[in-house]
Amino acid sequence: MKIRICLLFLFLFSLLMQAQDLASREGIQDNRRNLTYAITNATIVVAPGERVEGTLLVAAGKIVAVGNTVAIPKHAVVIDAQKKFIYPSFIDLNSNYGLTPPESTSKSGGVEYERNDGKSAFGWNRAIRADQAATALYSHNEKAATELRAQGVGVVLSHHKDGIARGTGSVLALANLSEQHALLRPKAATFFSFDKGSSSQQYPSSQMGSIALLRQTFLDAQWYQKNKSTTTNLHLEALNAQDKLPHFFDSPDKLTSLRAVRLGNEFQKKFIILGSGDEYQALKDIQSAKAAFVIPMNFQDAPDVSDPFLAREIGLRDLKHWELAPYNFKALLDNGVTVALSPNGTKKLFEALNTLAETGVSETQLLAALTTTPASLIQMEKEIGTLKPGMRANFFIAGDSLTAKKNEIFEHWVLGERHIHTSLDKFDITGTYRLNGSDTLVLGQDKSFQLTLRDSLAIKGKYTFKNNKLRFQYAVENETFLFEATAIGDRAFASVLAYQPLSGKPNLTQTLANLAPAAEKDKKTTEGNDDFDYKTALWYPFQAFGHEQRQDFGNYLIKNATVWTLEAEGVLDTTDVLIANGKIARVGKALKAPKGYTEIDAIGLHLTPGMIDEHSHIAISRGVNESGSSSSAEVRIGDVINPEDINIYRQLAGGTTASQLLHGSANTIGGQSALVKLRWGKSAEEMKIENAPGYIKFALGENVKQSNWGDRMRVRYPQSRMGVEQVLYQSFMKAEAYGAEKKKNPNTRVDLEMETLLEILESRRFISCHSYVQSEINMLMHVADSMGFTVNTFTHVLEGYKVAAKLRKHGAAASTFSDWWAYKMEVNEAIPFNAAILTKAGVVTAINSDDAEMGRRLNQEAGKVMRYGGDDEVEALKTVTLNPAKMLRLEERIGSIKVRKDADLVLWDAHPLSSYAKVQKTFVDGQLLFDRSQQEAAVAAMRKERERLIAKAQQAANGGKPIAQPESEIDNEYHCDTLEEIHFHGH
Amino acid sequence: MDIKKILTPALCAFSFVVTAQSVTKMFSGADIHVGNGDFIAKGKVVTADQKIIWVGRSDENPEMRIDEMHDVTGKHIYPGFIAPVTAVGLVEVEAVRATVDNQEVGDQNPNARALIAYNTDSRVLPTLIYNGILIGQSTPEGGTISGQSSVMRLQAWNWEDAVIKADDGMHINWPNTMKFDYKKRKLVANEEYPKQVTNLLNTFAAAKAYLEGDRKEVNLKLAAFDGVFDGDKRVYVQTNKAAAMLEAIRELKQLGVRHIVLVGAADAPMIADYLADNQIPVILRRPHELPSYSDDATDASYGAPALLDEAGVVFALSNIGRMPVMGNRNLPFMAGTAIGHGLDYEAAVRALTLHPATIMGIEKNYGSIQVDKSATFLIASGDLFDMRSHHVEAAYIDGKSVDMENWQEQLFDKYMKHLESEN
Repeated sequence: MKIRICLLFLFLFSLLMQAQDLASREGIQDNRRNLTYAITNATIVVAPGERVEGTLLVAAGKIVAVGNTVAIPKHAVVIDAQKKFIYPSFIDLNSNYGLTPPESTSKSGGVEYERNDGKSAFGWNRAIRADQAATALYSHNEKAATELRAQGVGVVLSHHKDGIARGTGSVLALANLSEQHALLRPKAATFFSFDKGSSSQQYPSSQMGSIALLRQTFLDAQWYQKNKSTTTNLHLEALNAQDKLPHFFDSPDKLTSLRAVRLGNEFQKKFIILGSGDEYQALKDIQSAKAAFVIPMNFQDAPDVSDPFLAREIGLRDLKHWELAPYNFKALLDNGVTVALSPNGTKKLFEALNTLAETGVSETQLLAALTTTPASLIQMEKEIGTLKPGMRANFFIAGDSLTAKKNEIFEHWVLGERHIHTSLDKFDITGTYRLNGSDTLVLGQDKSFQLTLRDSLAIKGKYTFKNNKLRFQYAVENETFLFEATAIGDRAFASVLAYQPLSGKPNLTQTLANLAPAAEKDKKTTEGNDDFDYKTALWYPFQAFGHEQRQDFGNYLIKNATVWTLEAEGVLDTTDVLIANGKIARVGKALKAPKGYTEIDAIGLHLTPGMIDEHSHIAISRGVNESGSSSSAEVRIGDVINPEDINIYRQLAGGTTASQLLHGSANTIGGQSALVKLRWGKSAEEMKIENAPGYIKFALGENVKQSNWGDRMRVRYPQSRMGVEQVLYQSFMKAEAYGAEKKKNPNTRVDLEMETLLEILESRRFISCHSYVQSEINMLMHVADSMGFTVNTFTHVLEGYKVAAKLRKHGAAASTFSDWWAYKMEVNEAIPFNAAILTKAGVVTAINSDDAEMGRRLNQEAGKVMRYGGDDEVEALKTVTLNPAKMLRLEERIGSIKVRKDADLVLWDAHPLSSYAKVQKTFVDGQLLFDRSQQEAAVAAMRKERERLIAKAQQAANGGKPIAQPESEIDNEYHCDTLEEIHFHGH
Repeated sequence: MDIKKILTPALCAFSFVVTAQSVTKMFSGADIHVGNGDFIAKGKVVTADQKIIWVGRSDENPEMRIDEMHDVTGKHIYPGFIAPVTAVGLVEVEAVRATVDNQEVGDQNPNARALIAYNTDSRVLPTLIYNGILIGQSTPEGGTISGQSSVMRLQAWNWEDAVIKADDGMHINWPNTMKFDYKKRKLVANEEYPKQVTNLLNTFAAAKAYLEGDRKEVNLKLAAFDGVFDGDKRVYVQTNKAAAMLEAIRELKQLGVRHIVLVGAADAPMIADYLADNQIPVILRRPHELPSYSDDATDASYGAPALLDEAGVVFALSNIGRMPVMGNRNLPFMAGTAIGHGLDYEAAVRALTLHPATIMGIEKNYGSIQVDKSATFLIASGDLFDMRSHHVEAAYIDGKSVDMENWQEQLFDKYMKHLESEN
């Protein structure tokens, strides 16, 4: 025993040594932090799941001892916690506390393509701010610290939320001490995002641009590390210096989080995601991402549904998110995800904790997510996060357990520094009391009381509660009384009196003398949530018409259809098609369904291949154009596929089963395409067609020379068709030189843009070029001929009819609109007979949509080929099936009905080229993804779900809970020249 | 003057006059889509000068001199299609500012008149005629009060002889109940909505007061409301939201507006019974539009016309949406889509002919193949609502044969020849 005490003293001594202040100070020092404090009579939660009733011994900023047998030293200041709760302080990893943003270095005015702030030793892009250190921006902010401490937060990981590479963040304790004390770890982690923040440079203007920029930056950093560069790049040096730090990624939504994880994997970087709270919506993919998440707990108030018309505006998934957001934490835990909670942005933290508890998570799980998990994510679990001896003395004293409906923080100690929010001697007196007889008294939190006498006489008013004295006045039968009682504990009173203040004459005292709390009724913590299982409320994807379960292959026999094979067999009457394991297994008459196959009676129906949209911009997140430079070959639409776009489903309902998701046409060399099937319910990665060849969007004409972008946009090269040619030549010649250099020197810096262009030159990637007038079409063919490759497809190509023979000779395919024109100058000579002429010239010709609405009735657009000069209906149908398959080099797999091809099929109730035709069923890879016969039920089910949620929101509002203005997410509708934030119409 | 009196036997009880100089033409053997919902198999139509003077079944014959016989057996006759609320004649190339004449500066432009900006030589017009659109409502846009439309013939020498009805209505954009919040990237309730509505209604109230006064001080903007409160002038209210529609109807009725027409009206099916009961007509936005809400049926827009028809709402189809001029040539195919989604065929015809005519107040002369109406009709070799058979062989506006030539066909011919020469 003696030895133990001795050791303890040694330990204390060393602590005191550590806590010495290095600063020189004037005046008389009064450093009470170094005293020893014993907080007794407390329920101490030492660590998640570890509760003890006893004493916490604190000295010099650290925990000395904890437990029910702790000996209290004589020199200790003893504090009676009066049975209150002590928890380790929360740690918030997603904070910008204490940081003052640096002054902007942007030069005002003008459109900035190249960096113009003259910081030459940095990289070329302002969104890369890897040299930024939180330490340089940090100063203690007592006002903000007080607010955070009142919420339970004692330590934050703070970083400056600006840029794509954001530099380092610091671990800061929220003590009112010098910065030297509070700064626990100066460079604790490094931060990234896809948000360029305050950078005034145009690039990147899209999320795919941000992704490309970060990839290139990581590649450059690796190269810079290995190779002696002749120039210095401070950003790359900073990045390399941060390589061993924990990497955090700040994400606005779950899809972005998944993209960040993919990018991280490419560079062996394990991002910890500062998440968005919607992770449960893509649970399977989040789980497979194997990343740790720091998620918010700032749950939305119930939407205001009082106006039924405005309530209709609330998106169904917004409504669902309101209900499900609190389950996010549980869902992630259930799926084995490492998850920390971030109190950032949560106004009423204890309410949020209670809400979380109602979802069925334990106090232990909650506490871990706020203490030990965040501590270990920043590798500080030996210093903060628990109240074990030797840890920093960061803890708060609360009135109740974490999950209690009502709670309050009395004191918060940070680094052993005591902050008193409310006196520990303050008692909670709110509640319902039984008086003598049937009389009752209700004391509300808002200082209102209601006294009910003789069952019927209800008196209301306000009470005061000061120095533990409860007082209020009331009147009965024209006589005024003063009520007075002294609290001696929570809901415990002594000396209850009611008397007439003037005469001092006691009255009714006998009646009121007994002030005992009424038995608390229903101690229910949940509001009808008991039988709610979040798992049954999830949809795949999380969107209207989402499936309740992920779908799998089905095996079908389609009987007696009119089958448009688009092969030599032509159109077959009364024919059967067997679908097995996602493929077309047999085509023939009177086929027998093997066991387990679903038979579909298709008498009177037409079966065609699924339609293929060569030019689509649906299912793309956060920008279809990277307009920040004239060549953005490095960006990839495949990085930003949005599998939840409702237009995927709508297009399935119109018979479209595969699409080329194209970059926009804002610049000459656009970005790489994604070839996808409309696999509704699958993830972004799963939508991509396996082993599909690489494509890239090019563009010519008015969009790339910014003709219709307003007078401000007149500085980016090119501004004329002349310049477009030069951009092309320069880019390809650079790529040629890059290729030659790479062959010579294996250490050549990898340049993602050049790599892509090189693929084109080597015919490993194919161009789909947005084009209108004949001169520019001609020009690109000349460029390609002279650089030794072929332009795979001209898309739009509205004047293709003028150079049809040249197109055929070059070997280019044409993908055009059926009848668009008159929207800009370069389509002035566009004619609806274009497809007919091109087809007659022997050019492989497709009709595309470039439009979310048109993409769901491509059959009608093909029908218009018949209206305008076409004479063969099979050829017309091929313009939206086999021909786009050919130009996408997928004709071996899709585009016609042939054994062994993918079972991407559409059943129609009328001639497929007729305006009256409706899709009955759509199959993708043999999966029945749209079934008209189920539509009514699906819509009715969604209506029911909406009604249920609206009733729930109404109930919340009626219950006095705060409500939020109605809001609805909108699905971006992109066209060729939609720029993020600014919309220019045209195509 | 030699006057001959004719009594038509079956379909009409009116009497007509045909002068000796008149040329009477009979078109016989075509399926006649009357435009009012009726259909006459293998019927006969007789025109004299600008008018239709006789319509009958195959077994009926008029007692009159027929100067020209047109055998149109196996073909279809439709009234000329009408394109409501369009920039036809006002916009040539959307992206080229110099060719755009459908929008004035400022928020309220009740006095702006589409009529005088109407370009009869627009190259877009013949491409609409090619698909059967013979009449267009040339309409300003933008601001809260966009200006006044006029109903125009799509083939004429100048706006004076093109006009069918000048300044037929005032077009207003009802304020939006929701607005886009760029920060949140979400739609949020428009808090300014009540104020914006009040501003708009104040203008109506001021106009009413002005018109009832001595009008001594000239106020072009307020004077432009002449006819709104006590005449024939329509007030076209553009909005897609049910709440806004209901509010607009209530408020404008209270202010004494006589002819209210809803335009766009995507939510109209939600309140279809109310619209039918209150006889509020609708010019529906183009059916080829995405549904308003993610949880709407995927084909909600395609099915909207059928729902309105079922409820008894007087509605016209339009191309309101994108491609404000050229897109009108797809009106027949949009009707086709609506038919595929439950709309009765003859109701679809009516939604492109008699209903828009009624809505604009030209139904006495236009919109159907009926006696005493203008001989404005189409002769088609096939079903005009289906792309596979759509072909307008001939068209007449006020009895005059329409020139069906268009520039796009000329380019087609020119470059087909070029291609053949290169082969």
